[in-house]
Amino acid sequence: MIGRRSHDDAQSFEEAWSGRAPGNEHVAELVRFAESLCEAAVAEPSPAFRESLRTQLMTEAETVLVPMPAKVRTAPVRESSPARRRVAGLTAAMVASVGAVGIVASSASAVPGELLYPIKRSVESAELALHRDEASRGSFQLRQAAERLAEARQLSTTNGDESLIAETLEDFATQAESGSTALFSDFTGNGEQKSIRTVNDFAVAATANLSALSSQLPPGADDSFDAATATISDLAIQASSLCASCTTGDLQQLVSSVEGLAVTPKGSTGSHDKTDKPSSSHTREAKPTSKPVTSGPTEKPPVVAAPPVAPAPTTKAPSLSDITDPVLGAVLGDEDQKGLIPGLLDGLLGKK
Amino acid sequence: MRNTTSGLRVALSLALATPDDRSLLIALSVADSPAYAPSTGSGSPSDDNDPEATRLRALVDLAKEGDAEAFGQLYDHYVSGVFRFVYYRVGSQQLAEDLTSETFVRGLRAIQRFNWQGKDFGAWLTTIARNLVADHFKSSRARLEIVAETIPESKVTVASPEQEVLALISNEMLFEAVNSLPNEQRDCILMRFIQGMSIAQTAAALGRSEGAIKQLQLRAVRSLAKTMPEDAR
Repeated sequence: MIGRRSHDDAQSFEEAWSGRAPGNEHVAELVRFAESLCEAAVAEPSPAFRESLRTQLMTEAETVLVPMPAKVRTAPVRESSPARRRVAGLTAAMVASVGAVGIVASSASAVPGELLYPIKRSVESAELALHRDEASRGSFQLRQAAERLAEARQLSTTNGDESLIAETLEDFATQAESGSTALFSDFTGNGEQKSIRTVNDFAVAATANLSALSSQLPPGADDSFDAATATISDLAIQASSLCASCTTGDLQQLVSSVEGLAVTPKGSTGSHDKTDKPSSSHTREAKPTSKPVTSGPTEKPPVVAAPPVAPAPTTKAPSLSDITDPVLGAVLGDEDQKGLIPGLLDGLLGKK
Repeated sequence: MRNTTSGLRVALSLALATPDDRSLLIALSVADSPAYAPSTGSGSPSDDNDPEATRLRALVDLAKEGDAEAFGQLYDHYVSGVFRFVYYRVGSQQLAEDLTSETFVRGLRAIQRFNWQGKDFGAWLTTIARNLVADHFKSSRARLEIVAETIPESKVTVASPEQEVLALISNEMLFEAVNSLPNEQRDCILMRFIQGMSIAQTAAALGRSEGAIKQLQLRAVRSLAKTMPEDAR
């Protein structure tokens, strides 16, 4: 009832305000009061201000307002012009999209600091958005983390910028963590043991890579490196505590080896690291007892098979082509569709 | 098709946006929201036949096509209203002038970026002004200034001396009373009675329905009538 009444009041006030005779004295009083409010509002911009702002705006309008063809007023010059414009627009879009596909494709091997690197990262995040369920999101993020680690290694071997390496390692840790979190919750939610195994495999591979990296790391990136190893060891511990039976191999060994890696003092030359601790971390398949110490205090990285230094093309390429292939197919045509270019050529040449 | 283009437009405006374009983005998104669509019924007659409204719409179209003088005429028409709105929010002539300038500069820069045809330009400008004022109060600069400027200066330029004498409610009282209202009531009062915007325009600028605006204005007028001293009325 109250709502109805207040609605009526609001309506009758509005009607009285817009000129009709007020329904009752209360409304009339409110209207008079509102009129006095209007009269009280005497503030005006000073003429000087008005004038100077107008001048300023007119000056800016010269550059800001781009002359555009009037939509209605100008009559089309020729009958064919809209169609022609459409073809021109299509051609421009096609050229742009072919260029974009090229840039995206060549960004796949970019490392931090390169011009194409931001494109690579945006493609990755666009790809991530395509992964709907937690399991696939998680494993995709872990693949990205592996990619970050490979980038960090490549930067270190090419004597890249310290801060870039540190940043890349931080991104590695972040992506590893969020990917694993997604996979862990997939396990707790759906009981998917495969998710835990994915984290384990990732942790094992990352450990091997981190230990290979530790010998080449510039001193400025030490903190990020320690944080990254701590993250990996946390993940391994979490994985084993969530599902001890899911572990494929010697996870406990893995945990301790990562921890060993994190506390290894790194000399500024990076050549004294490979004493005995890192060797025990190369435990991808072998038991540490059966694995002899392979690397002495030499400049060479350990012999253990670590993933290639180049940003893992084996994992990256298929996922990228998943995106580019349909686009290329749409542009150039494939077995499913005619393609934009052939279609356009047909249109231009007048084929049916 | 319409959805696609408006989506593209939003994407484009996001892509072009610099961080300090926040108010503009908000204004653009308000312009895109369904609540912003011109009203179809209730009360106020359609302004299709109003020659002034037709003139303003034509000016917006011309300005969008790059006519600087058309924008100048729009400025002449709206500058007082925008200034008043800002002035009774911030209570300082200088600050109100600064924010008014900023409002029109942003309006100028954005006028070509989106499809405004058929919608109200003044409401959109007021939305920009409102967001700029809100941003101003959020900034730390404002917190320092507000101490010095709680009471508006009296040297406000007035329309005419007679009017000043006739005005029973002083500028200062109006400023204080209006700013003691809840935010939406306050903005509603400023737009409706101090700027003189229509119900539909106010609804558009505030992103509310016309019914809600009628309720807001009644509530605001009632509570102002209670707070204002009796002899002022």
